[in-house]
Amino acid sequence: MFAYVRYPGIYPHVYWSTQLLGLFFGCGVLWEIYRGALSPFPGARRFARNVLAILVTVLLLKATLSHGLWTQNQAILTALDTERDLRLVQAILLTAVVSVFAFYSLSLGRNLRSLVFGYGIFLATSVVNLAIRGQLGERFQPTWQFLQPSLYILVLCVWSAGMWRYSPIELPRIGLRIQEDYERLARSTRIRLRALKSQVNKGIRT
Amino acid sequence: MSSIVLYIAGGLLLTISLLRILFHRETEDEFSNPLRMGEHSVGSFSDTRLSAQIFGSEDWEYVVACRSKPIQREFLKVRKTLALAWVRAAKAEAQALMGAHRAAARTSAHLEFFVELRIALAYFSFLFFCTLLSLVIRIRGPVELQVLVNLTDSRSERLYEIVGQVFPVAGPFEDEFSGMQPVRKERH
Repeated sequence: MFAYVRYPGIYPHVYWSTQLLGLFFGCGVLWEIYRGALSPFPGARRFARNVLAILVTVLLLKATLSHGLWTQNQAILTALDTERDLRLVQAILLTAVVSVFAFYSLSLGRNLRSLVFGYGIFLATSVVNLAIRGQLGERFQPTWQFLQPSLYILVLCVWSAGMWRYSPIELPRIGLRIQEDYERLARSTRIRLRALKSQVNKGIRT
Repeated sequence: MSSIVLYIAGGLLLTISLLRILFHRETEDEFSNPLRMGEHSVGSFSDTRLSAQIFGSEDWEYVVACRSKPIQREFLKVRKTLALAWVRAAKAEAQALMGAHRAAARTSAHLEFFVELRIALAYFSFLFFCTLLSLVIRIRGPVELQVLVNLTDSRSERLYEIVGQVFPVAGPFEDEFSGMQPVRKERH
């Protein structure tokens, strides 16, 4: 805002360079969501890690193959295209992480839920807006100029409301109960097998 | 134009996932453990004789032989309700099994990715066949659906088989692990 008001001439440079910085911060937010939600659940974390590794490999492969097909004229990427593509990658990764949360029914807690929801709104709307802006060009510019800051304010409201007070993730107690049951089951099976084995041995000896 | 569709689809997919976790509420039922659900078991859906009777054509042929339209209508109405109840019961059993598996798997340090992937695929294909079966029952009626029912059954068996390999739970009817009984009594 300072650059926009005092030095409007340099504003586009400031805007696009900070957007790039924003992309890196976005990766940090994704990492925090992954780490914060999955650290109490080693199984779900392992599954998510594999899913993300596969997705990143596929996306890198696709980027490499597409790059090989570019002609010199097609290879000119604007900052808007770069941002749109990187936001799409982040959106795909966040969708995968959120799907793992849903599949394993992980309780996120109020803080993390708002972080995921706020950043998710930001990513989903950014991808769609940037795609439409890229397709329609200048015609969409006035709408985009209104939509982007409005949605950003909405995201800040979601984050502020969700993170106003600290609320830790509640671990489900039933998970511990089921683990306990499973261990009891395994133990009783081992005891039965041992008893059976000793009876068989006795029978062979007699 | 095709590229814009891809971006919009990406945005929509993320929005749907977010809405799912926003409106998702954990309930105790979701984690109900099949190891301790003996008395709450929803029914004998895996009994093939029952499914053959509900979805087969034998009863229908008998009713048709009576040549009474009101009886045929009433029969189809009752049989549709019964068939839909069978599908619901099958889904509830699978959901209970998956609830227990998920509760154990998410905290397990020895989880195998490809086994989990197979379980997820088996579960979703089972849910797909259940939804398809419900749809067909509603549109076409429950008679002569044996092929589709067998397909759904085979998906269910596959799911139990894969989950059983990593998490040996009792089958829906046989209490293979009766050694668990004292533990169950202690806790209730």
